Formats: sequence, structure tokens, C-alpha cells
Amino acid sequence: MGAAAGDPDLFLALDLNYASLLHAEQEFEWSRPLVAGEKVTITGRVGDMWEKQGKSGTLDFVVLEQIARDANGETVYVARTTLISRRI
Amino acid sequence: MALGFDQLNVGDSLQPLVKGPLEKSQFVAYGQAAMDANPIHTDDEFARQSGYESVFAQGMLSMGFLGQMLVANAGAGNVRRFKVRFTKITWPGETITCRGVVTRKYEENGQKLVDCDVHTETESGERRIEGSATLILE
Repeated sequence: MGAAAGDPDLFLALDLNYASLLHAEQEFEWSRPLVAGEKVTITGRVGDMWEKQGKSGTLDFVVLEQIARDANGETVYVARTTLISRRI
Repeated sequence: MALGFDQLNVGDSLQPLVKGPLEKSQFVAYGQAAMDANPIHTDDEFARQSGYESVFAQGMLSMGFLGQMLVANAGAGNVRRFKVRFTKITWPGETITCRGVVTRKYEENGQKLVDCDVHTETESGERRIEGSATLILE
């Protein structure tokens, strides 16, 4: 999922089982188009987390949310990445 | 040529986009562009050790194909929302058709919008990824 996972420190702090990691869903919402040359500030957070009992054990669901804001603090886009990881 | 709001109705199909046959070199190029270094998409030996018969496409590459189809239909800058579920694996050699169908037509905050269901499918009609999008039309 590379760049889609956003903040690498936040991503590592989740301590997921990388071998079983699955990029399950991806969503983008744009308020307006991004313009070449502009600067945006992206902040990341864990938007949601839940677990589910699967046949092969516990599955962890994590939604990583990134918000990009322009120089005026207005939201340009919101991205949501849903990951699934099988707990070891 | 972007679609017009007035010409489009619920149930109408978007203009489809065909990609492929997909090549492994595309997965390498996409991995570099997206800074996704996962060898499961680029190294057949690694993929086999992980239980797959070969490398396979990044989900985000397929999402990119669908995005290309949406932009071709609505024009650049007119995709308002776009969501997909990576339900099935897309393999090298497959030819993928990107499709969309209008599910809702409405106006909101002065914008003319259509919601669409979107998916990719193989030549035999097997679906690979599925989702939805909102387009701004003139």
C-alpha cells in the first residue's frame, strides 16, 4: 500500500502482522482539484479500529485517515485506507 | 469529451476503458512510482513462497485504471469521491475492462452530480475490484 498508508511512524506503531497485511479498501474525497505548485499539509490519524473473529483467528481492521489542507487551512482531500491483518 | 449531466440517466453506463494484457513490468513501474516496495508484486519467487502462483497487480494500480476511466468520462478535476474494495486478485496477462453505471443523479451546493457503481472485470466477466464514485458534470 506504500504511500497510501501515510505516516510511516503511525503505521509502524500499529504493530500489525505485516506478512498477512491486506489493503482491503481505499477511499478519496476531493473538495477541489490539487493545483501544480501548491503546498499541502497532510496529517494522519487512526480513523477507526475493530476486530473480527475469522476462521483462521482474529482479524484486526484499521482505517488510516489522511487529511490534506492547503495554505488557508482548507481541506483539499481526505483519504481513507482500510487494512486487514491476521493476528499472530 | 466529457459526458453531459442532461444526457445521462440512472442505469446508463459510462464509456468503458480497456487495459492490458497486463505485464509484470507494469507492476514494477507502478511499485516504483507509488513507493510500494512489496516484492509480492514484483518477485515471482517471493510470491510463490507466500502461497501465490505468481506476482499480481497492486490493488492501487487497478484503482488507478478505474480512475483513468472516471476522468475520461467526467473530465480532469471532476471526480468528487472515489472508493474501492480490493475483493479479488488481478493477475499478469489479464485484460481488464473498467466499467461504471449511474446509480443516482442530483444537485448539491450548486454542483450537478452523479453517483456511479464502478468495477473492473476480466475478459470472461469475472469481477476483480468494485466500488463507487461521485462525478461532477456540466
